[in-house]
Amino acid sequence: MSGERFLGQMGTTEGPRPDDDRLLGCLTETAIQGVADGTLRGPERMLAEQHCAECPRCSAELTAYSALAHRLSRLQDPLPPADFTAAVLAAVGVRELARSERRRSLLAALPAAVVALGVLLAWAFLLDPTQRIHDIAVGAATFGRVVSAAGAVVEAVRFPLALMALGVAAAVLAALSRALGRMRVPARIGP
Amino acid sequence: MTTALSLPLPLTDSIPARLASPPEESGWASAAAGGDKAAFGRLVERHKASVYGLCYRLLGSTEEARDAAQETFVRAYLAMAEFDDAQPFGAWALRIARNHCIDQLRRRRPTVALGEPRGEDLEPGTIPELPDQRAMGGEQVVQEREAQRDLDLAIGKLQPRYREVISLFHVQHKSYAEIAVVMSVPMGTVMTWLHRARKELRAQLSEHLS
Repeated sequence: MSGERFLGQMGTTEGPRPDDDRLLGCLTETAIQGVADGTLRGPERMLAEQHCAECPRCSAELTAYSALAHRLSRLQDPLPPADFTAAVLAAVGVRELARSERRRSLLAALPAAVVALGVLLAWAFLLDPTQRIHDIAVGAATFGRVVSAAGAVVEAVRFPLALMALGVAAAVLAALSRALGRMRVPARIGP
Repeated sequence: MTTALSLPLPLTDSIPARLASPPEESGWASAAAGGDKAAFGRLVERHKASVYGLCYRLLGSTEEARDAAQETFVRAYLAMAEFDDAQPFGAWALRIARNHCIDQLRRRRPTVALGEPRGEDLEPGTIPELPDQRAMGGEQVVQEREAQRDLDLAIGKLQPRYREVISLFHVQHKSYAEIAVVMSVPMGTVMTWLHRARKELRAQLSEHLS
């Protein structure tokens, strides 16, 4: 880029513009900040510095931004505590343990459901299967008659009742699986 | 208007080769993804200062910064299986840190400005120590401390994203490209935010900078 074109893009005699990158008569604030923080390099930097040497306004801007850049370069963040890494690894161990416990709880829910169903069926059929089947058939027929008699009322409450039953079943299974999970997980695992 | 600035790096969205993960870090990340906590510990050791520093600049307290940085690394470890070890771990960890800190900032209002005396950091009225105070006379040390405290206060008053670019560029000395990766924005946006942040700082600190 030629020096004339460079100054032509950066310079103006129309005064400041209202936009963020307003021109300061000649150099933009962006260019001045670039000189101050060292990101403006090469011939563009040289031309900008030459301009600042002749222009009191740009020179004052450059002085202010250079002072700010200097202050910012002296900023220091506090250091993390000495035991930071050990604390992170310990926290990782705790979080891993919690995650594996959750996973075990979910896995434990399936066999718990199977066990519960098995116990129910065993109770129903082991003692007197014929009588149980008869009871179920009678119960189903009675239930069918009640349902048909209730008609629209049963139709209306069937869905919420099913949802409630599902909720209760899920809560029972979750409690059961948590209890089983706790029994399997050791009391403490180090990081 | 086209800019006449000569940029240190090209304005592209692709990640420059110099931002690729160092070879040893890729190995540590792979091992950590397989459950090797010692390897993860090495990653933490290398990046804890930058993550902690960013959390401090965003949250404004050493205690919150410690908790946030710790949470950042725990989340990183638990998500190691999803991490692409060809990418720089540091930038990924900083992204997790900034997202966590932004969530924290959304939960609390108003924010504590950096440099204000806080119970867990400084006694009221105490000015933070400067590293090279032995090289200065007593009065100069006091002036220097006050100026740095005012700068900290001014930075604390900036928007979080401006605080972040100031921290990453001026304190952690990251390039525009690295900051763009961390903040998930184009490099031009980083430059704009940095420009505006310094402009605001200059306005706040005009007395010190004249």
